[in-house]
Amino acid sequence: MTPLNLLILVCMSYVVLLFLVAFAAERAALRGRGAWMSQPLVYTLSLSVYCTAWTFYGAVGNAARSGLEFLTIYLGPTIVMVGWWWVLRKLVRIGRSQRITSVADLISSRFGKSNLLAVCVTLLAVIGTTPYIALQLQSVTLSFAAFAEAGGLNAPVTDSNATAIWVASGLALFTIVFGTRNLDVNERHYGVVMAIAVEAVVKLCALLAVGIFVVWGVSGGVSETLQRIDASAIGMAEIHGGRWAALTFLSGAAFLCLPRMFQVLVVENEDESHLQTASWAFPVYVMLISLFVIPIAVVGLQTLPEGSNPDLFVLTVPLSQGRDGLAILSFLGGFSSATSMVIVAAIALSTMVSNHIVMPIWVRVTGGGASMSGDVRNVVLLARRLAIAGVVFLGYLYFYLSGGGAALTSIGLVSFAGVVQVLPAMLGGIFWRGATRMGALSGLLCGFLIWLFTLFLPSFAGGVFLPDTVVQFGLFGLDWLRPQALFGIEGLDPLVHAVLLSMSINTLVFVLVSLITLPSPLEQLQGAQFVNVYQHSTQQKSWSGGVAQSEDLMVMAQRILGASEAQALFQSAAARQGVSGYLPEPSEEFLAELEREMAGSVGAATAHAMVGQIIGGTPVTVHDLMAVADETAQMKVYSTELEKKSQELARTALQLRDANTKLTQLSVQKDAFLSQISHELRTPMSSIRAFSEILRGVEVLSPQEQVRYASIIQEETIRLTRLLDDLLDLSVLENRQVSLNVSTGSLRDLLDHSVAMARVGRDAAVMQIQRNIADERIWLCTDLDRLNQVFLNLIVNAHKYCDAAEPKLQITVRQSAQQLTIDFIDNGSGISNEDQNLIFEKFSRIGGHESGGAGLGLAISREILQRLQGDITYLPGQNGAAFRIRLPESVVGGVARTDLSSTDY
Amino acid sequence: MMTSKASEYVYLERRRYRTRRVIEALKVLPVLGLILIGVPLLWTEGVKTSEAMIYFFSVWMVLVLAAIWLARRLGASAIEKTLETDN
Repeated sequence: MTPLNLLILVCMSYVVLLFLVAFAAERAALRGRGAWMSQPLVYTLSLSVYCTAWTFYGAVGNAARSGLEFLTIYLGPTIVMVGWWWVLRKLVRIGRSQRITSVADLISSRFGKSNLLAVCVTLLAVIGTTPYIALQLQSVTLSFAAFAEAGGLNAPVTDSNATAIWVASGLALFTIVFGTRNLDVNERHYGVVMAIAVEAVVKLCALLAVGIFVVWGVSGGVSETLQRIDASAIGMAEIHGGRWAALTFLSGAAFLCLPRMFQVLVVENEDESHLQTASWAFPVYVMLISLFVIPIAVVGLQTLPEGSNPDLFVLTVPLSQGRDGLAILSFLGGFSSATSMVIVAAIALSTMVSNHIVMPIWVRVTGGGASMSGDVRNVVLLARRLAIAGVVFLGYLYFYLSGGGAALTSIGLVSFAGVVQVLPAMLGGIFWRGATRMGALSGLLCGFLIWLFTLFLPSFAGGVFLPDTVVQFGLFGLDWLRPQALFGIEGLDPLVHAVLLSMSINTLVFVLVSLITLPSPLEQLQGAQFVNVYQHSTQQKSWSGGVAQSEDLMVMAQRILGASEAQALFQSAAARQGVSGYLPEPSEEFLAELEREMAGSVGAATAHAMVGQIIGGTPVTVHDLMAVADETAQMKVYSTELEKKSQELARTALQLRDANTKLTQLSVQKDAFLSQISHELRTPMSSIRAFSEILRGVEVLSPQEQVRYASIIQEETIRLTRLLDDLLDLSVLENRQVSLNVSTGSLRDLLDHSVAMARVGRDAAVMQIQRNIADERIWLCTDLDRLNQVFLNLIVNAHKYCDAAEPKLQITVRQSAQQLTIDFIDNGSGISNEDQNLIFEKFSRIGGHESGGAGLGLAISREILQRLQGDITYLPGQNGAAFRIRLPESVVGGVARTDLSSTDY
Repeated sequence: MMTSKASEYVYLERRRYRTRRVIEALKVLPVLGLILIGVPLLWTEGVKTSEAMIYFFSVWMVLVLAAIWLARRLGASAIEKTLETDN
């Protein structure tokens, strides 16, 4: 048997084995015995779909060309896995709670279930993945050719298309059978995942086997191998900084964004804790995968004739050493890598295409209602099957058109750079609530266009899409529009240039547009659910239901989820609500759950639209939300008003209490005043009465006595009159009934007058009055009579109460910008501290002085000054009784004052 | 009764405290990884490929061992129970 025939036989057996594994896994899962498949190990192995044929064969080729650079392709994902707590954990949690089915679904769900965004991401994914599928087909055909060559056959070169078409058809068949066998709400494919896990083991074993053979079989040990490495063409590690960083970033980002990686990482994830194991197990896997890459490359470079394709060293090294068995194992490894990639990528893409392109169109064309005839479930499945076939066929077409030449080898990184354009929207979506749909859309489009122009189109050699003139001289002949030196950024590696430019502009536009646009209410809701996924309940607030008919929902759900699944779902929901039977109340909660379940099958946007149509088109509209917001605002206003009112009430109560206290005080004061005034009136009255009785009753009175008694009566009457006058005056002043008689005059005249009046009937020499006439040259414009009354009262008081041996009264006038102060200071013993508080009260007379005053003078003075907008206070610490009168600046007649300064009085 | 309750409380707090520190370490680990992977950018003159290989695979082993250790310390239940509100 020739090696080629043997190869075909082994290959066929391997495919049959895969079918059996997948089939057995599906059956076991169906019978509920699939627990062993939900192991973290299986999850980790399924992640190995990252290692495609491009990495299986290409890593060695890459190492042979540029040394250690191939490591970046594995180091990036290692960092992402090791740092799972940052991003992966959140992605998986969101994926599980929102029933996310693909990258496109994630982005669309996050940004308000926007289908436009989903379509964009889907197209990007298809464009980015198709060349990659072509690459897998190419690797299989190339490895077939290598075997054929070794077997001495020259024919296969012409058969490469045939090989490719066989492989493509086989893969499409497998994917359709196991990828669309069920329309699971969780979008999990046990059969496929199991098959992938088996393939992961096969490719790891194959590479390790070849590596071990190379190190110990060919080189003769570890140290010899190391020496051999240093002696080879790639003996010196030359690390290109820019490429190193860019490639590490690119591979890490692609690990998150590649549709197939998202499928296995998030969608097929059974249990969040699997991530914990995968966080170290996957790095171990890729480390083992890359362990022998350099030795294989070095041995290939040294033992194989010059000009051999380094991409095939994994295969040709064992072949050249006559190890056919090992070579077949190696071929199986490459075959596994290629097939697993194509299968998962096709499933992921078909989910996207059917959920975001076919279903929305179908819903629109048929009117979408579940009551329409035709089984939605079948439509979805058919759409997926066609999409799988379509995607694989596109890959083949690409392979066929590009001629399967060397042009394909660079497509891996080009493809990576394309799909990572999703990264800003993805990370922004799950970490930043301010990210908006418009931002995501514009960022994505900018990044996509720049990638297309700077990397994707120029990657086709020979000007297939982009004429060479454009590459050389720029678009439209504009120098700054050269694809590989866009905006004049030159001197960079084309890949670094494209990645740097597309990612930075993408991110920048995404952030800027997000900042200036407003998200719709649904976007805000989804944004909060995504960003705060750990705090939020998994419940989605989507439907203000109540008008939905459960039966219609049931009909629709059966068509999408399958009859038994839908019935189980409805029954359990009804049981939770306490309703017997199959029809639960269409509560908001239930509708959200139903929508989520259906989103697993047809995508979030479609499910949303379908439920929306059934429940009478009452999805949460902007209007509803605004109504809700209004209501909230109204309630807020209402409660604020209540609060205000209660505060007001409290204030009023406080005021009332104060008023009451005041009234009580006033009443007490009034009583005190009345008793005081009775007392004051009674004393002269009783003496008048006594003396008038004497005058009337006693017959013998000397004329001198008569005159004395009559004059006492007169004195007392005068005192009474004065008291009554004062009382009247005070009452008038206190009641503000007095009208001021404003006139103009000089302060000096006024004081002269007061002093003169005070001296009437007194010995002028008794009291010395000191004044500074110069300071008194001030014109006043106020009620001068009243002011005179105050001055007079103060001077008379000084006359009466000053107890010094040589009484002196000093009158000081001081004028400042704001006020005019007039101090009356005598050299007596002054007024004690306790009395200072009382002197301005009515009927307050200090000490034992019996001077005949009623004790109203200072009270009246205070009232007068208040009426004149000034005040009077006692000035302590002046070695005598001191009163200060303050008058406002407004009483000073400014114009007259200038005249005065020149006129001497 | 009181004492047993109190000690239980201390124990729980202690575990929670540990878990938080483990999570912080988990967050720092990728940063450390990036720095270590970035070290070759500082190599000014050529390094033998074999030595570079040994360096990279050592870094890889360190990251893997750290990840294993942290994953074990974190435990399966820790994520679900204690940290729902942490982020």
